[in-house]
Amino acid sequence: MFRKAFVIFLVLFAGCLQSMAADPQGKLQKANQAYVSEEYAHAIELYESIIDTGYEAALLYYNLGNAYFREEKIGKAILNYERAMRLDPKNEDAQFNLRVANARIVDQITPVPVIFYKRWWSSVYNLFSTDGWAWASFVLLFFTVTGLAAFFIFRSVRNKKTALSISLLFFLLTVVSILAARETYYQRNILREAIVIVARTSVKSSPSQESLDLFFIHEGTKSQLTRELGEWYEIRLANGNVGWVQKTAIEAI
Amino acid sequence: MSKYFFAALIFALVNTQVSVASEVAFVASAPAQVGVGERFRLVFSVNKRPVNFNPPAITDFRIVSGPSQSSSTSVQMINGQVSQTENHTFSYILEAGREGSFTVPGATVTVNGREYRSNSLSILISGQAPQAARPAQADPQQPEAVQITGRDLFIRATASNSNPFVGQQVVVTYRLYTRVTVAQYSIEKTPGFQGFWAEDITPQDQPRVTEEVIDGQRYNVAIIRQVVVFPQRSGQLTIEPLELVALVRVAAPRRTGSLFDDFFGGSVFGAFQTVEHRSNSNPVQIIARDLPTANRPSGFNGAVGSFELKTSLSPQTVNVNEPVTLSMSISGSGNLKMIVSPEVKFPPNLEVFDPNITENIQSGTSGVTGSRTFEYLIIPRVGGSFEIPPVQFSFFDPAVRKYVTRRSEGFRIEVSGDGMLVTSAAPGAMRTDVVYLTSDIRFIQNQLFRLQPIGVLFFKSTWYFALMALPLVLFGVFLIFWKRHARLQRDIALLKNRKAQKTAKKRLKKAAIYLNESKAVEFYEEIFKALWGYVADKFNIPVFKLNKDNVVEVFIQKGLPHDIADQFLTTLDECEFARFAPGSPQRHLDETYQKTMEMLVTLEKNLKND
Repeated sequence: MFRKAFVIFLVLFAGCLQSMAADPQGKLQKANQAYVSEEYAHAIELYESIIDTGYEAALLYYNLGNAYFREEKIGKAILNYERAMRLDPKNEDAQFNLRVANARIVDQITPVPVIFYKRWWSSVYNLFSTDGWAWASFVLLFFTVTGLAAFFIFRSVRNKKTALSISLLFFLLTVVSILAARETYYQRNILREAIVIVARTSVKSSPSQESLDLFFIHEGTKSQLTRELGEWYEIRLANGNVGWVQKTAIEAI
Repeated sequence: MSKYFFAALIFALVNTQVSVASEVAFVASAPAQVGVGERFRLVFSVNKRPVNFNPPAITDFRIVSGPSQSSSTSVQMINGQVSQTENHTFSYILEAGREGSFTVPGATVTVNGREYRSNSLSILISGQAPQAARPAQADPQQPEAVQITGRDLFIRATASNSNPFVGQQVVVTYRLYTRVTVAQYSIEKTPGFQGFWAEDITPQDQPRVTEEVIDGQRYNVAIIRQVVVFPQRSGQLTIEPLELVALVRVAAPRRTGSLFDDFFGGSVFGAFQTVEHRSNSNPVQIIARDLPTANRPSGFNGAVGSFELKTSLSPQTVNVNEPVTLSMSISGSGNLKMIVSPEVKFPPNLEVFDPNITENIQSGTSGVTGSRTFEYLIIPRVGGSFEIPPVQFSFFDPAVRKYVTRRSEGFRIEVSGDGMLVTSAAPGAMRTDVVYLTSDIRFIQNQLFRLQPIGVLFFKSTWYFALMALPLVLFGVFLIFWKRHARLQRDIALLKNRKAQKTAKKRLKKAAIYLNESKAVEFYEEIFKALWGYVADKFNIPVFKLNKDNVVEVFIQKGLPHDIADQFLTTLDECEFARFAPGSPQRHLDETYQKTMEMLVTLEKNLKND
């Protein structure tokens, strides 16, 4: 039964691979060549067109971020590094370049300190991407069930005990990985964050042009999107400041 | 009498109320003429309690303090007539800034709901400050004040160049012109140099006094301050005026009628008086020009002036790890202090330290001259010949309005020895962490990688749920099979259990037949089979797994008393003994049969009891 499902899955997977066809891959190659020959604007155009056709990859966002960085568009560069990190949180190159780009932004925002267990939890769930955790949960569930079956099959009490405890351990790990998958899913798909992509924008007290300027934020600054209204986003900065920004000034990750 | 008095008083009070309400006077007052720099009072007074005071816009004077409010009320009784006077004042202390005739507009107050406007005042500010010229040591009741005008003493600020280039030095000189004797002076306010980089070059010694004739008047002239300024940006820049307070000695005017003073002429006995005089210099306007962009050398770093570049490298041949000094000296006149080191392209394998900068700068009336020297300490870490390319230093020469580039020669350092060997005493001592020269991003992933459709996630997809359900379903199937299997196993055991007695009985019957026929060997065989078979069936253990050694254990595990196990073993032993003792008497066979029967009955009983 499982074997059948696996075969079906493999067939589907192969189908997926085939359906991405030569076109985006060819564009990718061209874009990389443009980057290598330092035609960054052209590279940006090509990378963006790949994304427009509905394809993505952590490395695609990483390369695009690099091209923007070379064009001195720090906001866009950070935006794309963040997108790369969402797909592949362990990508070391993206982490490094994000740090370099973040060193060049104007705003120094001291984040509100996070309580220790939340820090631990975030360092755990950031180990894999959402799908990584999803696969892990599947494999671990499989082990759990196998252990449970072994518990029934084994006769001696000692073996039964071992099988049951191993199964229990796998069960716990399954639960953790499902929770981690959920968390990363929330962090990357439900929780919306945005990067300032213009040189400077004012944060207003309410979503209208006439309202008071609360403070200014500069290119590359990251914020959470909490609400939207018409042409305005309500944002929350890492230091807890809240205000309204025009949609044209920031772009959601 | 008193009755009338009170009546009169009440009448008077009522009367007063009426009269006060009828006329409100709101008057502004100030001296009509004041001197520059003098402080004076501006008073607005009203004879009725005001509700609201709107001050006038005072733009031509500096407000030292105010408005301060004060009130007074007085009741007067003259010849039985009582009158009440109120007086409310708002006063300012103002300082006259510059010469001319200025108007203070009227203020408004609200009294009893009506608005009143005061008169406006015209104040003449003259260059002289009659009140400020206070006698410093003479009689305080001096009737006449000595007047010093702007023609007697003034300060002029001049710039050596009113249209310089950005970064070009301009000498600003403040000269004091005087026709009177200045005993002492002090600079009250030094000008701010906004938009400039400034350096004070005022000579420390006593200013040299020269003579100059202006408009037919002979003046003593002294330089009181000199500043070199470098415009930092282009456009119109203003240097604020300098403020100076001078103590001037003037001959005291004679007091009429004093023979004594007449006689001595006032001079011998110090009938001079010292007068304080305050004066401002003129502001200096400078329009700075941008440096031309055409032909600007790439290495240009903002140096403006006229410079020479001198370089030296010593020693030129060294051993590994011995220091070499590269010295670059830029000398000349201009914005020397703002000069940064010309860029030197050092070859790798030379350890270069930040340059040591020494300055030898003189500031004189001609501006800033001198030299600025950059000394690089170089330590070659490996042997070989190293080439340092020529050093370029570019500056803008405002005299010829051109960029000039000075070039040094190239340098060569001959290093003998092998770097690694010299430091071999402490291997690894020379190793350092990889130092990031600048923080730059890493290169792109230029190999092709797999692209995936946007937004397609395995997590929460149908496939994910299906795959997650799979192990559970498999487990369910396993459980069903396992249960059926277990039930089957149990059924077999049950069957055997039930059959145990029957089988044993059958065997015993067979044994009984053999017993009658006196077939000893067959008899014992059946007895054996009956005993072992019964145990095997009853306990659901295969016969081949049973032997005398483990049967006791099995008995105890099944909860049978120990003595039954022993009994079982004895019976078996007896059977065995009889079996292998040929020609055993018939009596033995009977006994064995009997015992086996008893044994099986006991077992059956005990097992049923459970």
